[in-house]
Amino acid sequence: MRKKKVLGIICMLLIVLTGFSVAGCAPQEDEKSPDKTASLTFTTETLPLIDGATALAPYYELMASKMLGMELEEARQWVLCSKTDGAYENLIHDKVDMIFCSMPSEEQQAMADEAGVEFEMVPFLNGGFVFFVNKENPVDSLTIQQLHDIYAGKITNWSEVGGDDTEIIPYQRPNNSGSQTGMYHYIIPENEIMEAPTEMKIAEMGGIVDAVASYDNAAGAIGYSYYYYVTSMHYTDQIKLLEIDGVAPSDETIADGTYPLINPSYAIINAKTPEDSPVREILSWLVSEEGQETAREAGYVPRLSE
Amino acid sequence: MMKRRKKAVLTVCMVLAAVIAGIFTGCTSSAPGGGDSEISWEIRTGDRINAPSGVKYFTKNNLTVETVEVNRDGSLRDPKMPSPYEYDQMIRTEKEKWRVEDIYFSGSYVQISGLKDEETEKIVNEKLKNLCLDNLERVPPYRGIKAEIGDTPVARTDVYSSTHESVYFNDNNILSVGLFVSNQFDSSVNSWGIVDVYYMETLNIDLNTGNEIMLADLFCNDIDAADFLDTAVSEAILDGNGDEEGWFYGEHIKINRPFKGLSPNQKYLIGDTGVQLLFDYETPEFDVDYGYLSLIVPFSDEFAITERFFSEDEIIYTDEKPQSKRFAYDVEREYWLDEYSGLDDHDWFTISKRAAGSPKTPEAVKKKMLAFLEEEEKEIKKEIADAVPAEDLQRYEAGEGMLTGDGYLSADSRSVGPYLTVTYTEYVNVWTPDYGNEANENVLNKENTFTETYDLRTNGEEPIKLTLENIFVPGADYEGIIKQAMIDSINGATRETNEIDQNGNSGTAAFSDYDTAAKSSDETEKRNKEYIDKLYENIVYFSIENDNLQLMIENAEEIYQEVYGKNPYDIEGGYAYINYAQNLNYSYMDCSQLTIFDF
Repeated sequence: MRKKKVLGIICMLLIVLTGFSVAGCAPQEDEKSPDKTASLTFTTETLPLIDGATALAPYYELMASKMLGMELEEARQWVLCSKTDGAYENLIHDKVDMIFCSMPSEEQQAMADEAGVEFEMVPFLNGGFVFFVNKENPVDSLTIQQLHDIYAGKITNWSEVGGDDTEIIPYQRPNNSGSQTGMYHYIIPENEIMEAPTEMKIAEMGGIVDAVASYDNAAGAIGYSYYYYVTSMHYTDQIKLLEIDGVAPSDETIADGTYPLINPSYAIINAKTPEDSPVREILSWLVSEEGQETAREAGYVPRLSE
Repeated sequence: MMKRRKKAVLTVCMVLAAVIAGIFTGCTSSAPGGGDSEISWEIRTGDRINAPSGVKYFTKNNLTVETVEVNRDGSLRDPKMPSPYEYDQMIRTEKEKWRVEDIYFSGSYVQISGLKDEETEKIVNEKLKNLCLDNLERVPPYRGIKAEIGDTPVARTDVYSSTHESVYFNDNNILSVGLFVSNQFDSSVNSWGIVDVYYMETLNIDLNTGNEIMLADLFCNDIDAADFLDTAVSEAILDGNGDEEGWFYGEHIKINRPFKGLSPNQKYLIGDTGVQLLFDYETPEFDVDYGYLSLIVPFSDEFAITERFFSEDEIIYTDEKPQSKRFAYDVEREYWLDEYSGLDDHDWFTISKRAAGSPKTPEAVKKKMLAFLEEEEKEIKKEIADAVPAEDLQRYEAGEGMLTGDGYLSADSRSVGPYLTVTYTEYVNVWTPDYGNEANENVLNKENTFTETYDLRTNGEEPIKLTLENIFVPGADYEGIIKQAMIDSINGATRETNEIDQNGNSGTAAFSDYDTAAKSSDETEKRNKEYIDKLYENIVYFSIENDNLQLMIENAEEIYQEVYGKNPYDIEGGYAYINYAQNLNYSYMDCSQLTIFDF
């Protein structure tokens, strides 16, 4: 009797402990629980091998979490994140089944052409290319032409665009970075852009180099990035996103495409993927209501307006 | 993480234990940064301390730290374990004595002794041991890891792997320990077919209690530690283009989703420069591949590293002798000038000028540093004009001869505690390498370095330039103290560098180990005294370093040659003696005789 009682107490204790630990696992804002009603389900054996860009990993790992019916921490281990170049390379060399990236660069497209691989691409998220200034800056809006002229070095003072008599510090991003490529694409070609402000930075081998200066939120500063990163960063309350051509970047204007500087993200597969492949089911799922809701959950702006 | 694992170990039923362990493991996903809802940013230990507190200096813990070597399965490692090379050379029957999985593996944990409270010491040692043993066979839940190496990976045993524990900070009654784990697995994805997985686990212990120190405990009570650290991380992301996928100069950390703040149980280590935040599988918002990234948040007035855990009046060690002190390292640097140019019309001569240093450098000192560069550049121009023969210049300009040269001017400041050392360096070299012409000579060759040390505790007034005399308490025999420290430093280094001899003596007497055969000990002692006296007489300047008083001694090599009749460069250890006489660790001096720690 005594043994049974002790065992019973132990079991009760374990049940309580188990319950307590489950309660402790309550998901927080960033780490969503899987949706048990997900229409598309996989096991770790059947889940296609997925890879992608760093900035899209939070989306496709949440997607995997839903499809696998696993907690995010577990599901995350079943999707790769080889970054844009690595992901394209893996897709071209048939090491993965699908990737989540932005449009292929000329080099990536050339590599695919050389390998005889044709991409099939489905846009499923909208990103916004945004400009920001110190929140105290009275300027709320700029046109694309004004941005062009600022970065061409033609407009040099905020008073020329309705602001204070303050010199504009047009910060840029390092060449070959995603944001700088976006800058050349959306605002001003590489051969027209002014020289970027520089600062001395410590190089890898310990020396110092003149590197592109980083945005410092000074009174005259203007910088740029992608909406996804900027809107919920720790320092977001100290900066202000600018309207572009009179349209403020928001979930709505980016989703419905009225914001002028939109960059979509794509799910990309090899066009020769069989029609009955589960990879194609995932492509359909991405643009389904559930796929788009997953985008919102992961902090992105869906491709389709509500 | 450690607490969760410990709870799991306490369970009795193996099946349920496994379930619970799984749940606990899974639980780490519930908060960014592996957060635990039970842990908050509340300060849980020590007295109330308000900013500014900071880190004045470190006081070494009087502990003995020993390393225990282990095998891959946690068993104690045989000290005779062959190296991989030795193993490869063995015949089969010899090889069979060893487990191959241990050959390419090295593992260790540390154990401490010397705490007065034996129970606390036992608790600390158990934690240190478990930190290592819990990680011997572990694959952390990195993004993509299972897609790459499968669900039940086994570490490769034919390539090197390690699980090593090291002490990063052993001062102010704090012990900060890091466990570096590196394993390799077969990869089905990457081109090399093998993937390296490495991570760091940490343990920061308050030696007064044996309790773990959370990040918040390191801060003053009136400081919002979460906001302070989040701001530091955000600035690093911003400064280093952390939201860009590629790597660019000046970068520290990378993110793949917006950074919204650290968890209260963020993994960290304490070091000589500050608190090192480690981002890995517990912080999936950071892009770390299968490794980790780190960010050092330098010590500042917001920290309470000293007063919260340490008191001069309460010794918690069995050895109560005075503990040696040292300063924190200041890693923050600014660059005020970095130029590389020709010299007027003389394109054959290039000169680089650089002024850089601590942000704590007062404006007056900074101006002096920049003025040095400007004045010396003018001086160099003048010297070149005087030194280069006109005919050489004319031949060069006519394209008939060669002239070449370069120069380097630098002014660099370093802050150590409330002191600032400025090092000025000048180097010029001009020569005429006329090929086929025997007159290939140096025209101008100049090399010069000197330092100045300032006391910055002047309440906004001009910084005070320090002399050797005024860093000692009034009336102290500072000459005697310095000379004795020189002897102790040389002796100490000699003991450390010499192997133990057959009689068990560790090392030989300093100065004389290669010169005693022909000389009596009295004679040797006399010469050693003469050597030290001459070194002292030739001190030209000094600097306060983090753990030592650095002396610059003019003609140190010549003094050695003069006293011992030998060139120190030609004698093993001879040159080192000169170095050790110039770098006097504070542990070789009675710190109570120094005023530099009185603040």
